[in-house]
Amino acid sequence: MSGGTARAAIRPNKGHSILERRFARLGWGFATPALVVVLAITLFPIAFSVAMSLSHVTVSADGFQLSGTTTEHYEMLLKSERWRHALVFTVLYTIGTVVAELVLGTLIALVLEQLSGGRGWMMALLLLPWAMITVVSAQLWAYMYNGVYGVLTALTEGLTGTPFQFLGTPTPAVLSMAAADVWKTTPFVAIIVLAGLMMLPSDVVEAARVDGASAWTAFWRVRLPLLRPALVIAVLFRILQAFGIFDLPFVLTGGGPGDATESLALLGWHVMFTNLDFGPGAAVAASTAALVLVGCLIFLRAFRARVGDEEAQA
Amino acid sequence: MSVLLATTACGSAGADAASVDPDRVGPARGDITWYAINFGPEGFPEQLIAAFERAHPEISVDFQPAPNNTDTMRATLTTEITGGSDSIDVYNGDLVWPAQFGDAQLAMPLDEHLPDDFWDRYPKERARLTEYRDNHLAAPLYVDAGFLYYRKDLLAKHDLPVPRTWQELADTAKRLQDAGDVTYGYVGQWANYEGLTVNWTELSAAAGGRSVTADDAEPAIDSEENRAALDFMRRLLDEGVVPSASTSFQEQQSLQTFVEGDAAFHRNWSHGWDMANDPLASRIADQVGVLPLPGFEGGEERGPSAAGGWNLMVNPHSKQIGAVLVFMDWMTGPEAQRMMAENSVLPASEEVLNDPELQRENPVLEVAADLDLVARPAQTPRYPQISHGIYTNINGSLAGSAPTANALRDAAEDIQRALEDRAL
Repeated sequence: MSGGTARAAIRPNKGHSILERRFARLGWGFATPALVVVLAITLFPIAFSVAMSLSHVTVSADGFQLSGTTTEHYEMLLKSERWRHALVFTVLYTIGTVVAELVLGTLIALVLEQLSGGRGWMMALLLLPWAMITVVSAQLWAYMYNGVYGVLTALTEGLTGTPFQFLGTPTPAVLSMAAADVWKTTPFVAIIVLAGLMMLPSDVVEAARVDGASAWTAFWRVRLPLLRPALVIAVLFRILQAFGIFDLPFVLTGGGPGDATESLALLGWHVMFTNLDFGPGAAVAASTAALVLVGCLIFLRAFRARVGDEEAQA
Repeated sequence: MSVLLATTACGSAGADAASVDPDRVGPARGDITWYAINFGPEGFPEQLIAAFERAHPEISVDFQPAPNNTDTMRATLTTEITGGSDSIDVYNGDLVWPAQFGDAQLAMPLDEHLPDDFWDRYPKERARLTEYRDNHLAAPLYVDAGFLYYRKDLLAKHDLPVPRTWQELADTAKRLQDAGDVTYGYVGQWANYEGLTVNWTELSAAAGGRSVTADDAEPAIDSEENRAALDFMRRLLDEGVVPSASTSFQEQQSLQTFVEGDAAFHRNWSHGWDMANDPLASRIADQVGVLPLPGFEGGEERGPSAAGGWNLMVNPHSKQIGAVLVFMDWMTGPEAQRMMAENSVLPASEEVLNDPELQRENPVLEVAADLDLVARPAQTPRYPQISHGIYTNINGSLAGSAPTANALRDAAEDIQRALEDRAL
């Protein structure tokens, strides 16, 4: 829709002709079935979940019955140490992995940009982890981390004399899971950043070098600020995915040891489908969605404004 | 996240209970769908179906294999049944499901449909585990229990007796480790999941403890006996009798360590026997013995085994309940139960379980027929939260994050919250 207004804005004649209006109506007509589907499979379930999280829920053979309005499910969350722990874990895990992926991904993109030959090959190789289904890659990492037969465990035994337990105790388990996540999603960040690098105007950097800037200054003061739109997109996508992480802890750790690697999504699933507590489960889901939405909006606000500034200056 | 949100939206409002009028069960013929996790040897459910269809040609059964994960299977069933689907007529349900499924009306109460003497085919306490609010919600299909597998070749080599208590087991294991015969003494299932509740229930019961009072009203986990049990588990870890990786071991990892010949003793369900004696999968085939679990020092000479196994449960939306009841009766009857015993699946039927001839062919069956069983505290719909309170705190303590006393106090608080329906 923003494309439409943009087109209208550059047109000298601001009024819509009858023909255009007719086309618009026809367009909406064609789009209606798709919009109805989107409404039915996206908006309705979300609205229903929010309603469920705010109602007394009884489950029976004939489905869910929602009655009355209550905030008790949310009160239950706030009082629950399990939920607070999952929240803290999910937030810290998201920040940690996204920062690591951003730094590594940018470095990889910078190297790829310098390559004259073999870039296609390198990209294909890099994308392998990203292309692999998480359930499969998590299983592979589980084999490598296996406390008795894992290749990484054997490696640490060879180096230090005692086998290191990657998944047996809380802190190593969190870090091991983060490593598996960084391995898988760094290529995604690298590709987006690489695309951003390719689009940068080369004359700006040349001008900076002519003015005497070192390679480092040229990167830090000129290229990185210009890269910001690409970085914002990469970070936004990653925050959304990392905050909702489910498959990796589900396969790799089951949320353990203790509750150490239980993310909000995994907690929501447990509450809903192991405990069959649909009200509190819906509250976990709805609050998680709200939290990540607010987080992304704050992030966008902080960065988009500055992106806009730069575009205006350029 | 949107997937999670989307899945909550299936199902619609209504007010009827899961019970079905006996007059409206439909004819005892037609096509039914049976949803179950594969069990027994490759293709065994299909063999059972073939035999059933020979006996009842008027009924045809379609076997739909479920994912090999109890929680995933429960999620599928919940979505299907609360959504009103009749695509599954009858399904295998875990031993610990009846209370929860009865409460959520995911299974049809059976007492209106089956004669009272139907339940005589089972040991009394086993049939009782399928009851919720004085109605049977499930019919036991096959049973399971915890067994102690041990390396009889190593005991013979050092002329050691089989251990009678857990403490003796630890000493024996240590000697075999010191002699260099095995890397580890014992492997069980101590990861952060339901299996740890099972292992804990066995050890705790052997030491004379329990996690919830007999009337399911109060936590009982913070006791002298349980402190001794948890201290003992932590000591096994400290002394290297169990691998430090144990806190991430489920059935598969522990069994793998045992069949690789790296552990002297191993606790597992009945399927451990076949796997340990399969020359293709095991380095220790024919060197394995099986026993009831040991007792605890100062208590009985033999410890109880946790009851396990699967039941048949009926989807209240099924349009083929008449045929399902015939299927249920046959599957829990002598012919099918005998087929199970012959294929290393422990029969639920008391008569078949105690058949001396079958016991001679299968040593696990012989041990199984004579076990003391202990049930997990699953008589309440809040069992998943109770179990979570048990396994996370025990696992956390084993992983070193809390000393014994704190872990059991926290577990008691979690169980209390679960019983009061205040737990996530």
